[in-house]
Amino acid sequence: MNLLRDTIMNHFATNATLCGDCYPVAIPQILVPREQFDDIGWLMKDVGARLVAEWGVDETPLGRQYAVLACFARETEYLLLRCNIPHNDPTFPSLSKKLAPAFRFERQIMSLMGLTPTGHIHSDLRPWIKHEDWPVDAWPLRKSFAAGQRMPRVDGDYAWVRAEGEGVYEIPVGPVHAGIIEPGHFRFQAMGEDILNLEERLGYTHKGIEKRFEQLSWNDGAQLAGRTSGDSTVAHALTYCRALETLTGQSIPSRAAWLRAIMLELERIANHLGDVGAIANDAAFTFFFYQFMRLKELLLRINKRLFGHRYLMDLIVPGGIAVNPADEGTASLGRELTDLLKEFERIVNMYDLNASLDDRLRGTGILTAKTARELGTVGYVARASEQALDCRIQAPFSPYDRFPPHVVVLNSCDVHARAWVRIEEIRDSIRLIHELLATLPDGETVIMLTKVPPDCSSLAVVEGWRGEIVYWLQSGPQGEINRCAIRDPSSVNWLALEQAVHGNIVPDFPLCNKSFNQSYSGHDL
Amino acid sequence: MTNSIIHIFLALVMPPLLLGVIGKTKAAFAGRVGAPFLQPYYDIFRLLHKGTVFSTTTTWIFRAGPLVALATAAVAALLIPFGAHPAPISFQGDMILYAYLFALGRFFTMAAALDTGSSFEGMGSAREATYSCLAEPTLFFALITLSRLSGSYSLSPMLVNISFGVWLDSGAALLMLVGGMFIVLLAENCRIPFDDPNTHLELTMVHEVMVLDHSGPALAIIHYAAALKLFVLGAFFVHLALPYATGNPYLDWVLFIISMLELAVVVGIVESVMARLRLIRIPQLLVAATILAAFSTLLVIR
Repeated sequence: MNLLRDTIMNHFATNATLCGDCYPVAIPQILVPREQFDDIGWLMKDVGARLVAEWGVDETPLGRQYAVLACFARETEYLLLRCNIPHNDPTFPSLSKKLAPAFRFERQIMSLMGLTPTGHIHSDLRPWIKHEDWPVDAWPLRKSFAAGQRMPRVDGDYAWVRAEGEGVYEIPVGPVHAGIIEPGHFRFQAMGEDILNLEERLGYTHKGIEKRFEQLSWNDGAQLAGRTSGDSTVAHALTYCRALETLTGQSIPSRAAWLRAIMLELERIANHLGDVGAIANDAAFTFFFYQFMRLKELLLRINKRLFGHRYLMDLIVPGGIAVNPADEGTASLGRELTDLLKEFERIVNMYDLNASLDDRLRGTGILTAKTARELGTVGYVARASEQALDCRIQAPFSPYDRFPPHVVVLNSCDVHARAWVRIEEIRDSIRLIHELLATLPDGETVIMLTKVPPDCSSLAVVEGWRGEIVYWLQSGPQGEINRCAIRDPSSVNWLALEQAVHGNIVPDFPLCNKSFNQSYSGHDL
Repeated sequence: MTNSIIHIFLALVMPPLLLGVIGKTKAAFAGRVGAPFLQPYYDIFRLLHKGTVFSTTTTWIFRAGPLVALATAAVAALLIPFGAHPAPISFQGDMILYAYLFALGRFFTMAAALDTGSSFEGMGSAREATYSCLAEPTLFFALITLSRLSGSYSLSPMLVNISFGVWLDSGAALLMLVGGMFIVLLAENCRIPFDDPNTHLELTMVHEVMVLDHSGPALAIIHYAAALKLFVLGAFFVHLALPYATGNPYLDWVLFIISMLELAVVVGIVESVMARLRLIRIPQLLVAATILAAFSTLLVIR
């Protein structure tokens, strides 16, 4: 399973070098010449790899200059490719000619790191995440940018995509919405009830998380990771901690590994329950909304009693977990989940049999398998569109290597499929938790981590409830955090929402949006 | 005189209670306690004590919208008989006035919405205009059937005329009317499955999106007028579906109140057991209502 690596090495031959001090060793990092960086676009596309993420890094403290990294994945293989960029010419060849999702990553790199993609075919170099009221040349992720400074406000305008013609009108939605949700702007061009185009604009919750990491200790970083996107606090903290533990080369006690997996699955169940109810609510079916919310609340109370926090925040720490539930607690968790599953099945049966709900959900918001693949979507969005992606299978860690999930892949690609994938995953997560509880090891739950060696990097991927979360950590000359690049599933899945609403009617957008339910905070960082 | 006073009193006081009953029914279905029966009154009272903000781009039409909606619904309430009691105002041909009073109210609500210049409100007005066009023929077929059955062009004799005897005689025609008019009742009053009065999703709204810019007392008037409209159309509907009459005037008032509350419960049940229709399917259902009403007309004029 070294197809991606061999493809690159064969093409570049002696021009490509394998980088050292990159962990885990199964995910190599290959340095390719900057002028040929865009070759990797078609090389990777030809072998069917998906672009996981692309980000920039300022390595000035390490005695180097800038670099751009791209992460690719195909089946169980992950690969990192990088090109070095000199200070005096901060440009790099764009990957977006071959890989559609690259354009947002590259707009983000340009806005925040000040590295300009070149050879862009559609020249979409509008800022992304950083809004126009900041100076164009303020690049917060560069080391020369002081984090504490106050930025002057400047005038600027954002060039929206426009549509004109008789009967075409524009609906600006947000950034502040009527519900209690995060801010984001959606601009529709519509004709009658038909949506011609949807353009998203995000960045309203940009808080400089990636920059903030660089001022924190490794331990504090876990807390910040747990706040990247509040509803995925377990998954984000877990991904960060796994990347950190990979850097120090330690493995955690198996009891901690088991309990981490249980928490990850509990988070998945809670969020999926809320989502299925919310999807029904957007079709004005409040019965299911309240019933699923009631089940979610039951689960949150179990979390609180067993682990001390309803959303399991700050429980995953570097080296293990912060709590050690007693045996009675874990035994009661199994019983309560069995009861919860029984009630869940009754409600799901009603949900499944309701024709009026079916009529709303089926055929709405179709994201074709081809688009889902080309945009590199992950998580339930991908699995509802025929993509068999689940990094609990593709990048397993203990205990998922022994207890693999049953991956549910549906082919109707609509709102119904995205809801139904969640329902199946709730069932499977409960099964997984039962298996984990039955084999829960005894012993320690946390170890002390050793000092992080200087100038090394690591990549970790974890299947959160939304999908694959990626963290790339790099240590500085004193073994401190030099860069923490985060890729929430939302960064790729938001792109797919724009495509899924084509051919739909304006009043079905909330349903489409709710079936995706992507994170604003996790995307804006 | 006593009957007229009771009529006006009920028309003024009872409408928000229907909304309270609908809300309570939905809550019971979802397994919740729900808001109190009187919550709609509290809401209106609260809004009346707030200030009103008027956008500088709007004109007098925007301010007139809620008032005209209230005035038309109030006049319509005087034309419709409640239960076995004739309406305070009644004349030959008042059924046409009744139908177009709602059209006038709707016209001003839509004009007020367009007056704001917001694309949301324009979108809502377009939807409202489309669906009211499709709902109107049903009402007229119903009026033709009823005037044929009673031999009158006035609402009071026309509706009070319906009894169990008429049901036995032309049950098929009345049954189709009940079906058609129930659909129109839900559509005209923006209930599920046509519209969702409780949603916060602007893009899906029909009626609510047209009144987004109204606030304070103006919004209170809109809410009250909407409740009154439900009450008036509901009173029309219970004549068809539940034509109880005892002959005792006071007992008949009680029966009327009970049948209105029953109607609210039925609406609440419908809202609990189905999702909203996809917006493009609404015309299909409204056309079905028109066909039902047209067939009932055919049956009585053959």
